[in-house]
Amino acid sequence: MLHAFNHNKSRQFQRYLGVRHDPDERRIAAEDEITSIVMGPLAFLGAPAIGMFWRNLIQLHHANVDFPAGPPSQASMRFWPRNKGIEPDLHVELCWGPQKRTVLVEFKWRARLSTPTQLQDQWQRYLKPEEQTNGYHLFIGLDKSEALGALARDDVWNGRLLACNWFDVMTVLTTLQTPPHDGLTAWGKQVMDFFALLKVPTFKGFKSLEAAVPRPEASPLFFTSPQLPRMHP
Amino acid sequence: MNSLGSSITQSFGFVAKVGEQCEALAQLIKQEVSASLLKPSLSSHLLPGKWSNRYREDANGWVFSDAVWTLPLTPKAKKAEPLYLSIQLSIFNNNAEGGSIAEPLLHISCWESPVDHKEDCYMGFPMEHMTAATLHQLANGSARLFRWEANKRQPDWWTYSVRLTDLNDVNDVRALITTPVAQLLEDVDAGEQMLHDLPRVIRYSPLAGREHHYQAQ
Repeated sequence: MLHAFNHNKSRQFQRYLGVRHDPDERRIAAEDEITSIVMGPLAFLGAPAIGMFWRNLIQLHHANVDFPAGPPSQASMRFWPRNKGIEPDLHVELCWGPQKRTVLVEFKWRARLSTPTQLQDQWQRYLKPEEQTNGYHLFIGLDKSEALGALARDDVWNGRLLACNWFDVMTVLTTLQTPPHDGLTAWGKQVMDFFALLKVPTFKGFKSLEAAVPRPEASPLFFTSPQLPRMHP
Repeated sequence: MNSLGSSITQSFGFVAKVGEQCEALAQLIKQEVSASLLKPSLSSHLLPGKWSNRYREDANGWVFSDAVWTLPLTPKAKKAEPLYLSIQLSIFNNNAEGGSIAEPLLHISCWESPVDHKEDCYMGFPMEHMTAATLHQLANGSARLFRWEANKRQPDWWTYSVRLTDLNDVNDVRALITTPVAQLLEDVDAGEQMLHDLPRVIRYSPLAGREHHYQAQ
């Protein structure tokens, strides 16, 4: 769907901005659709690409990410897994040989936490204790207030809950330095274009505008004033 | 092809793209600065309020000439007056009032009032009443920080400037804005030293023939 939205072939994304196309559509599953549209393609990429994205996102807030050096040898992204009746949005597992790291992710789109303890339950009851030790819990929403509220109510994370917004994700997408044919770069560009449609901007820097500097084609029949012959007294 | 018409269309398209990047930059700066204020060394003595923004149009009202994003900061010390951290984007500086430089600048200020062009309170020239040390550095062309003595023995108020086009990613924002601002809010002298070691920060020198006017370099 990323390509369909970005090439103006579908306007279904307007539903995520509150525009209702079908009055019979009782519930717009914006959060789950966005999770699937954005993160689905990343799950198909190789372990180095998956590892680089999550490492860079955590690094935006934590200078020293508790990951082994280099790219992971294996990576999996499981969507809506269930354990003890608790269903986080995404469970990422990264492996460097025998060393494992867990990244648990809750995505939000214009919605509040389903219960005041939703994030605490995910961390303490869904995850195994050994996964909590060196794992990270990421909240990604339009703003960070729900995660900051959860932290203020009951901080059970010992610094491992990271409150992010979608703008942070866009910032990270600009930092992915990969070979041009790596799918990660192509995926990142599609995601940034999609979020521009959803009114989440990306700071790409002013150098990115160099190609757009107005340079009208010179016409042989049109002279700007300095080129006109001048009469000197 | 009508070259003039093409130039107008391309130029307005370019302005729209620049504006989009300026707004995204503002969001990045606001997030980064707000996050840095949570550090214990700053949160122990400064209470941040909410960001606000102001825009100023050119004389004909067709394009923005300036944009300002301001964060109020309330010192926790008794009797200390409120401070305002303002990020002032000024597009047209190719005149003596703007610093005689033909490119957009970002002025970062911590003053006793918010930057507000309607109140005639903004970074621009003529500018007076700086500290003796700032005037000395301005005279020899080495000034990177304007300082003014604050009331009631509070830390000096200050302003420094960077080129808009030197900001291209989150690392630039951290190096040129978040880190120096946090250092200046903690200790103005240490922050000024940090700015002197950052060659991309604008240096100011006297503008020949114009009292209280300075040239950005």
